[in-house]
Amino acid sequence: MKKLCDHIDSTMLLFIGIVFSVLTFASLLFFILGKLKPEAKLTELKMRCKSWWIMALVFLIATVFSAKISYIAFALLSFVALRELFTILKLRQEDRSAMLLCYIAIPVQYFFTYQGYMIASLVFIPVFMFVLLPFRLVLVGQTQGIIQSMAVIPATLMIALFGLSHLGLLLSIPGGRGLLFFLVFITEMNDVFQFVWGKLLGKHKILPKVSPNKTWEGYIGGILTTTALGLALNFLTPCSTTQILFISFVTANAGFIGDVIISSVKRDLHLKDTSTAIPGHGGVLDRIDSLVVAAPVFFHLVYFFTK
Amino acid sequence: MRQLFLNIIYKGFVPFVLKPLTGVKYKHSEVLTEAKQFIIIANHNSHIDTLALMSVMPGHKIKEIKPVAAGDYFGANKWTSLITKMFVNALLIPRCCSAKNKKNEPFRIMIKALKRGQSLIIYPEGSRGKANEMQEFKNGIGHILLKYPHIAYIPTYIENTGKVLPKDAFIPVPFNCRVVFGELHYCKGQNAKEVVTNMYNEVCELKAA
Repeated sequence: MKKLCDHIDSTMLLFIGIVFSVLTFASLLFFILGKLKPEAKLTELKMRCKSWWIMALVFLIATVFSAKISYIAFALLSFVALRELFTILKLRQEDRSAMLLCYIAIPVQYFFTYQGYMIASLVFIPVFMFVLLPFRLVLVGQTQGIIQSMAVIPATLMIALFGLSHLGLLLSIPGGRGLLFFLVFITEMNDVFQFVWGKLLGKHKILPKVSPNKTWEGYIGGILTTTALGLALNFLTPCSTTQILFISFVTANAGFIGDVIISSVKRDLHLKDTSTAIPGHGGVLDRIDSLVVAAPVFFHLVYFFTK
Repeated sequence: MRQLFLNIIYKGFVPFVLKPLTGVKYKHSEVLTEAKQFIIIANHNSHIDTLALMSVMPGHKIKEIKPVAAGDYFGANKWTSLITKMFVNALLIPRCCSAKNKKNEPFRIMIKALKRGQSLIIYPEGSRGKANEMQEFKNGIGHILLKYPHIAYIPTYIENTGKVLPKDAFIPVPFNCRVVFGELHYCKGQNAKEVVTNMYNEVCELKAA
């Protein structure tokens, strides 16, 4: 037990305290609102809140104790996201062997990040897998519809594996765990802030054809609140005040972009959610859509500023 | 002993492999406890189908649940026959009539099992089709249900297993799968053709669920 506690310093404890305070606040809020206005439809929000508790606990257990567990957890997350994407995308039966290659790439990519081979983990997918995957399709020999498969399968791998593996890359640099906590917390809170501001003030639709519930008010309110939150959480990072304001602002925008990219993909496939894995949220991909885009952006900004 | 063995396999080992490969989600599986004896009527795309169905069956009567399998395929030699009987708890029936088998052999075997109080898992398509495409149902099960109208059947729709492990493939590729159970139904229709047409439609309706 003592050895486990050595990993946890005071900043970690402060962060964990903040996470649980936010969750407790949300649970209490919905509980009181439910008592005051029984007619308000809070079932879905309550379910979401419950899922947030579980996700936060799983995330903290996976990241606080040991780096090894974290890498395994990220690999599993990539696996589930990849499986979800392959399930909803209408690919050909001839693409099975290329998909299998994608699954095999997961442990390879996380091995590179675990070892801290930064260049290897940055080029493995966009250089090597991008050559291997189309070649595997060529070897199968079915050329009908091959253009779509050649484009979609590598893109899928970028979303499910490349983006997420930056969580592992973050852990491999000094002070990485604080940065990881910072990134995941501001990205997920950004989603929540956009939702809350949209509900409170939302009037002008920002992307009516892609995401009818998103508004300019939600977007601006979310981005500004997230930037402020980033500043408040700067104790987790080695950055200066100006740097962290810039980084938080850009990361919040990247999160928004990831969110609407996956939204538009779902719209094209006539789906509401990518699966039913998380009660109240939909699929795993629905929850991490902003993270897969925000993670590489955040990592490279921090790396650029603090190297 | 047999019960324990099947429980260890289908509640222990099979889910361990099945869960990552299929992330299988069951819908309305409560129906399995509503009747003592039933016949599962499902579409068939993959060997995974039987594994997915067997692992959700109530553990206390798993011994009494018999997936009906083609004798000419799984009973082709002593070893496959032994393995399917032992690990899958299968009921092997000849799919076509050879000189050795009388014409009614498959019916006799299934009816005997039903009389023993056993439940059956039947794929009326007769063989594994393409992923998520349903072939026409064969009439056989209609004849049996007309004779035993008091036995309930459960229409079941299985999605995406044909993508995980299609016919003729050896290496599985993970996809999210879904098994949707319908309500308990009883045989309705004047002749076997009508009975199976009703079944077919009931299975199709579950696609949207």
